[in-house]
Amino acid sequence: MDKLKLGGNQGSANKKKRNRRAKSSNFIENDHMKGPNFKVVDKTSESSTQASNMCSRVQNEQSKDNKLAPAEESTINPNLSESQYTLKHKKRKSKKKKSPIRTVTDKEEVSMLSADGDIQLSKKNGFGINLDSSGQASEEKIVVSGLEAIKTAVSNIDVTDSIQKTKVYDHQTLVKAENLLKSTELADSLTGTLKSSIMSTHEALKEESWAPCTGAGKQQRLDSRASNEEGQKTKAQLKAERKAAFEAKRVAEVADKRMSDKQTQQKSKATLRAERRAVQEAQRAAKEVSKNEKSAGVKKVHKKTSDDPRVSQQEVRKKVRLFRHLPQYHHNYLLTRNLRLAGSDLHPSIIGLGLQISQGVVRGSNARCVALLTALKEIIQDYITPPHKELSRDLEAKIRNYMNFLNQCRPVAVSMANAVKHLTRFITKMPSNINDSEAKLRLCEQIDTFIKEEIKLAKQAISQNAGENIRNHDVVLTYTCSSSVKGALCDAYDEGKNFRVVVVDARPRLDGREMLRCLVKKGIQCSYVLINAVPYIMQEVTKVMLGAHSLQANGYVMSRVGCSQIALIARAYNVPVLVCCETYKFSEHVHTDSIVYNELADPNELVTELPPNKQTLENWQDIPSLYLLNLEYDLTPPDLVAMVITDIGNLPCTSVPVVLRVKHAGSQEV
Amino acid sequence: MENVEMEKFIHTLKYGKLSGSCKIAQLALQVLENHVISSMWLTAYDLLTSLKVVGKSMIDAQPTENAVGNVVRRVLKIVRDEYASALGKHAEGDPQESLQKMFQAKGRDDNYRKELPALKEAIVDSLEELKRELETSKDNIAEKSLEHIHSDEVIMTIGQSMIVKTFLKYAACRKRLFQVIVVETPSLSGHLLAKNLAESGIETTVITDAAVFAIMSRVNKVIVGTHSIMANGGLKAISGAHTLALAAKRQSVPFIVCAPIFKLTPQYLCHYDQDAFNKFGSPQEVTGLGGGEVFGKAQIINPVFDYVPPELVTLFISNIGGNAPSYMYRLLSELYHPDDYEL
Repeated sequence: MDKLKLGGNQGSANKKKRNRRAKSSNFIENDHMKGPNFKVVDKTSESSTQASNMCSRVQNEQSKDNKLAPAEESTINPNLSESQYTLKHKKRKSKKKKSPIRTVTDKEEVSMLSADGDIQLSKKNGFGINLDSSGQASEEKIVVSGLEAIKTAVSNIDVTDSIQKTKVYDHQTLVKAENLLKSTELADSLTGTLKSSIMSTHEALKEESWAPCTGAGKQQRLDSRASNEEGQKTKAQLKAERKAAFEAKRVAEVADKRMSDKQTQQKSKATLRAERRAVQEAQRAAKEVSKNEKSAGVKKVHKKTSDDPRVSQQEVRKKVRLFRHLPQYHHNYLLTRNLRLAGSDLHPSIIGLGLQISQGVVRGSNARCVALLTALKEIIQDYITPPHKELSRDLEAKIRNYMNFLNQCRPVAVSMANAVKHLTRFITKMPSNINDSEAKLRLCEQIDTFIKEEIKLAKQAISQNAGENIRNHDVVLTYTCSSSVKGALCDAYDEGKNFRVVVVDARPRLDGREMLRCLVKKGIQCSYVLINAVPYIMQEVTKVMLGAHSLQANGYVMSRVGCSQIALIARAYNVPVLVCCETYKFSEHVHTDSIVYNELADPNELVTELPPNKQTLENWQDIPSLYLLNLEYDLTPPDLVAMVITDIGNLPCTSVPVVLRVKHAGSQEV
Repeated sequence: MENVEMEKFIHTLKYGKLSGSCKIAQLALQVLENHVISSMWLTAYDLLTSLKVVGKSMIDAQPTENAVGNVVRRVLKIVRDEYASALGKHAEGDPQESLQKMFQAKGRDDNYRKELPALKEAIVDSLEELKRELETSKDNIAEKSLEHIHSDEVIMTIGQSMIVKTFLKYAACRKRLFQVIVVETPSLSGHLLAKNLAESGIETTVITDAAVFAIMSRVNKVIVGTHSIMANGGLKAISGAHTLALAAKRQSVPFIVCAPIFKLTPQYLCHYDQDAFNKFGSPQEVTGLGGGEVFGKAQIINPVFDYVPPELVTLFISNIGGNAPSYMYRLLSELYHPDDYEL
């Protein structure tokens, strides 16, 4: 028999209340996830049963063929990648307007129909059923957990069933039932846990002001999913309403009957108090359990090595206190250990790129961006749209997947993120009526244009603008290796200008040697110092030229760690600081310090490759109070920077939001 | 005998085999004490002249090592003071005289030429006091640490300074809980300090020189040692200290210098080129041993010291107490005689 979907309450009167309930429910929502580093924390992990029920519900709603998810998948895989979540929740969002729909197996349906409201919980699928369709997942799962508990232990099924059945959303009936429970000798027969679960159920239900919702009557159960769209039958709703009211009355009747049947209604005050105390103890115990689970869940998140099971990174055990919110890995650990060659959903060029980036073979934001775009081009050329799927949606999902993998290898640079954002915007705007080869051609063209215009031509433009600022007999100070500054200096030298360069370098990367090599090869007169000697050398410097990793919307310059220091010293000696940055690296971030958003490199880099007489900290891991910090980036405040040299001209730091706005407007026109 | 010792000391100074100003100062004092005891002198004037000769040869062995010169000047001042007190004159009232007295300077020629039998003993006693002061200066400064470090503080320091190490460990012993961030210098002396502190149980983080400004916003105090204190209150400190001071000023973090008072030198920074002020280390420390064809075509600069102007320093903590940088010039008159500034 076909699996059926139950419709929800579509009455307009209750729509507002439903929406309110939807907001207050514990669904994972799309806007909670921002940025590649955000770990999805399942809010419903507070209670495992609730979680399993919730997750299974979510899963079920996502399943395209209205099939039930198998039991193994009914708990959310904690290693589910962010992309998969967003995928699910994009679909989830589209259904949000409608009430949540549950699937019911034929078996359960039969049992529901048969036993006159007697609910059979299906253990097979690991989730419970709620007769009332208007319930939200939160109440449902609470009821369900309560139901399960009740079901397993109670002897007097009638009363509890009727309590369940009523789906007591009527506050008054609820109170009545609860009071009955408390006062009657039924309290005796129920165990403490049952009582607590019932109490908690009712309390939870009480939290939201339930209106007497129209539950799905038997008729509605039989309706298919399609017919549960908005604008539904009001007849059935009314009928369900009547049924709910009737059932509520029935509870009271049955309870009264029970009371009259057994004679021990007069409970002594002492025994009542004892019962209440027992209930409270049980509730407290339940809370403790849930709290422990919660904390265990939180600990688990910290101990996890990575979100993605394909990537195995070994997390560094000791993290500096200030930076505990950032991931930090050992980079000599073989990344792709857990990757399977066949059947892996990652394109080999992405795997290769990930390895290259994580090992530091490809370094520098421009280089990484170009490498990424080249890999994406290969992917697009190899791409074949799977049947029944749209290229725009599927390709976008795949790219998101790849970006997630790359993020695990090494946190994605702002330049890479911006390039991918640009590309995905183009993909989503593609018309669906063109065939695959045409679409792929367009995409590859777009990538080529991006590389050519935003990276290569921009570099030339920057060189030209910077060259105008370099005069004869200048002493230019530069820091580590920036491709834009290197290009600018080499081009200025080619024009015949006579100037000197001071290259500043810092541990542990010592990238400045690369810059020195290029300049010396050109024939430029160079000096080489380490960053501690900058105040000494700054007195003979006439201008400072720095590269940037990205420029933030509040004017702060994010660049290699040490740039802010150099800008500070330059300001103390009244030397102007020029920053060279392409416009595609401008970002919307607005951080104000170098701690909240940074990249932590491997701390072992500080103690490797040292001469034998300097290896004091070889065993730093064994000393408990000792930490090493190896930062990648830092923020330079805008007042220390005189000018930013970009491909569109020379700007002050504070013009970044203007440029971003113009760019957005431009892209929307396209 | 004492000649041999002096030659040995000069030899070790010249070849840079000694490290740590405290040790150097103590050795220099030993040499001078031996000279006072064993050499033949009749008047204070003779002693002063011979001490100046010995002192000059020690200073010339390593001109950048100010501790030697400072100790020599201290000894000379002691001799002058002892002479003055033996004569019955007041200690103060001598150097900074009025213009009138300077006109009637005839009597000055007799100064230091009188033979006083008790002088030698008095001088030796004072020298012993000075020796004790040099030995206890480190602990003296460390005892003041509780007045400057509060609970849950984040302290930043650079390189390896014995004074700062004792300072911090004293506070940690007295159960003050704080964190330390150590800036490793290019010579990685910060690693030694960090390991030492961490093994005593202080939570220590090692950062590179490049991360100073990035982290400074979360630091509560900067406590550093120094090589010498200039007469204007500036510092001659390890390379990298100026960056630390600038970053601290920017973030309004107090910059505290712990140094015993014998490090105060009556010299000034004459020129920003730092020709006489600074000295340069081997380029190999910067470049390592490879990459000759590239580094051979570039100029490698490796200064050892950094000048930190007095405006960037908040406080000096020395064995005679805490002082602002603007007051340091005043202490000069207590320690040295102006005639000894130029040796």
